[in-house]
Amino acid sequence: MAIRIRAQEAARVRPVSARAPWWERNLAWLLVAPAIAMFALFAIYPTASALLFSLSRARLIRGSLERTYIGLDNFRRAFEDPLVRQSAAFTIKWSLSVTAMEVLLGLLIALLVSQLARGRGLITSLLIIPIIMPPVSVAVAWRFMYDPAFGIFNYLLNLVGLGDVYWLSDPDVATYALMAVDVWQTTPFVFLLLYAGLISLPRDPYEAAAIDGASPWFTFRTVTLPLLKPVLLVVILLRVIDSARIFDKILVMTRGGPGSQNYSMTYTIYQEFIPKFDFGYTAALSFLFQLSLVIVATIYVRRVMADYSAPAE
Amino acid sequence: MDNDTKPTEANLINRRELLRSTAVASAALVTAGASSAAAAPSRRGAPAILRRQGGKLVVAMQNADQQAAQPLIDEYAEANGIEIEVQGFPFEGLLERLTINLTQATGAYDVVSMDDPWMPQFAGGEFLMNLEELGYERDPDFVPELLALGDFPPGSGLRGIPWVGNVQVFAWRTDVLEELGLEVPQTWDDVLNAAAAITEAKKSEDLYGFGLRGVAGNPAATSFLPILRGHGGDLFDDNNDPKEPTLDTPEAQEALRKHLELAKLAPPGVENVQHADMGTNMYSGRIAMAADIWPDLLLQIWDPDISQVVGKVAIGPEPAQTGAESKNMTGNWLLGIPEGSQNPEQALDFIVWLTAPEQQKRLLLDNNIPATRTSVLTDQEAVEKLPFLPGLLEAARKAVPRPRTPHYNAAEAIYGRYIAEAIAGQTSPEDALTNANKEIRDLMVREGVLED
Repeated sequence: MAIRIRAQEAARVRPVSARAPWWERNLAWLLVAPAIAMFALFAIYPTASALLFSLSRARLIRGSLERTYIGLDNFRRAFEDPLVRQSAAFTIKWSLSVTAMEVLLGLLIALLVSQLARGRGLITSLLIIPIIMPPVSVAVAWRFMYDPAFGIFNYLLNLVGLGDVYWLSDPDVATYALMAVDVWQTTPFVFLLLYAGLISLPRDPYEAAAIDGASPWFTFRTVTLPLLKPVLLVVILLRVIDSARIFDKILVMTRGGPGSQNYSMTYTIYQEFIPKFDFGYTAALSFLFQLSLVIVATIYVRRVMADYSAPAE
Repeated sequence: MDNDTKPTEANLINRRELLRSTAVASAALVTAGASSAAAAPSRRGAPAILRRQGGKLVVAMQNADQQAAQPLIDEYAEANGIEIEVQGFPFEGLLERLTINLTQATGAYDVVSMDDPWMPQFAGGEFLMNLEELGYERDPDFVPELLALGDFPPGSGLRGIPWVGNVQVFAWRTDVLEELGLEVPQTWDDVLNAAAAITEAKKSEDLYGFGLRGVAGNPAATSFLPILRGHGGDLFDDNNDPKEPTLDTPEAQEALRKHLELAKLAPPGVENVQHADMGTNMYSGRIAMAADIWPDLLLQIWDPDISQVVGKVAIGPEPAQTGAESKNMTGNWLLGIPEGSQNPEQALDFIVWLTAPEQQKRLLLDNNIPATRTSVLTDQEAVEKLPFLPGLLEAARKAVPRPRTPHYNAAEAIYGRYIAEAIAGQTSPEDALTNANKEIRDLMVREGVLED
């Protein structure tokens, strides 16, 4: 209520006199101009530039970039390219799988940690370590651990009498081995957000549930999950978008292999740029990828998060 | 609360004052920006004058080469009283940097180190200075086939001097072949038979008959090309003037079929094997033969500190089927001077110094950089320490570069991916080559080399 009164009062601003200096009459525009300029420079210009490139065949010539307008040829080529279809399918599979695993694991750890009487700070600090590590360092370390000859995993398997696993080269295993690295590094991020959400939930519903004799599972299903849902939905959105951009781990650990099995969209775009330097096609692929993410995020926000996106009265 | 939100005269005055201050600050910033902009040319100009006086050289090369060559570079800088800034990049990062900086003649680098497949793009496009026009005289001590890599199109003048003498060789374990009563393979059929016999006999000892690289792109392509050429095939119709891709030929099909047979005789996990893994597999005694061994790996194989097979490995020309010509592949690195360099005379002096016999020998013996000069490859002290040098020289004399087209890197990325897919069982060998051929043809059409 207090907020609404303040807003109404703020709205009753004295109108600016017609004799006021120009900058005072255009004060609102002047104040938002830096933000608009930054947005135009760093968001609109690159996107517009990518769109222009995507409609061209561009090649580096002496001292400049030669561009020839070719209409929608690059987009047509993208839709006909089997590698693009394969990479898109891989990216969807990757994004949904790692998000599901990270959210489930993150939620489980958050629930466990929130039940602890002591040591929450220590566990939280330890769990932050993977998030801090650069993805390339993580990928290098895991590549060594996965090494068939001297990696720790095969060493442990051999200790218990099991044979070697070719973690990064066996087509049946490699994708899951890569996913495991991403899940290891990113689950703590999910945990942190969900844990913050959990400890800020109101206690009253839990006390009521306890008085009514509700089981822990019933309490989780009917109290915790509904109250935590807004945070969960945001976490899922963040992870779906972020995981779809997977690149560094794939580059360092398998370079998209075995074969091209683990080519993500970003890795395919990278391969089109270096060493092919196909600016136009790369721009078209980037534009399509960006557009896909925007569409997914918009649909998600409008449909799935609709109940939570309106500001509270 | 009212005082916080209601606009008052005092608030308005403060706001005006704030805006005036902001305006003054903005004006100051704009002025400062303008002054910086005005000052920019003179700041850029000053170092340029210094450079012309021999003040500074900026060099771009691969990380690994930088680490090896840095002691000599420092020595040259100190002796000549100049500053040399060496920027090291990974392979793909260097290609990206050079492609943009050389084509745009940014003048960012005075000396660049380039892989020889890049020469048709950089030399052919005349993005590099003609060193002979700068006063360089050809030295017959360089292995002729290697020096010729810097002359593209042939006869147009040298735009690069080879300084890292990489040549791909066929290597085999003499002790293993002898133990199993096998002859040194001459043809790819011989290689396949020998590899099968070795894997069958020695697999239980973790020794496999053959090693190759299966990672998509350059690794898989580089392992496959000697086999393709050893079957009388090639990537394009003409290695010196490549236009039509020729991966859909019976020779190519036969070569890939054999390549896949050999992959089955390699240590498991071939799908993720890269260049460094080939060296590890060879010097740790895990593979008995490989056709994708390079001098940097030979130096490891002959290093008693890490190798378990010192004195047990021999090298020679790549195998070839009867009727096909044996061809070893070059992968030399060349030093050139980009157009736009501010200090070409000093840059040329530096290149001449670094590729001189004394430095080439030191690079070879102390820093593991394979030489490009005949006198160094036959030097008595060097041969005593590295007995493979005569074999390397022989391979260099038979060396053939990868197809000489500015579009080779793009073509390699295409067929290297399809070969990797075939090794991983993702596609059939027939489809792999048919599709690779079609995509490379589409590439050449897009680039205006072929008509649709």
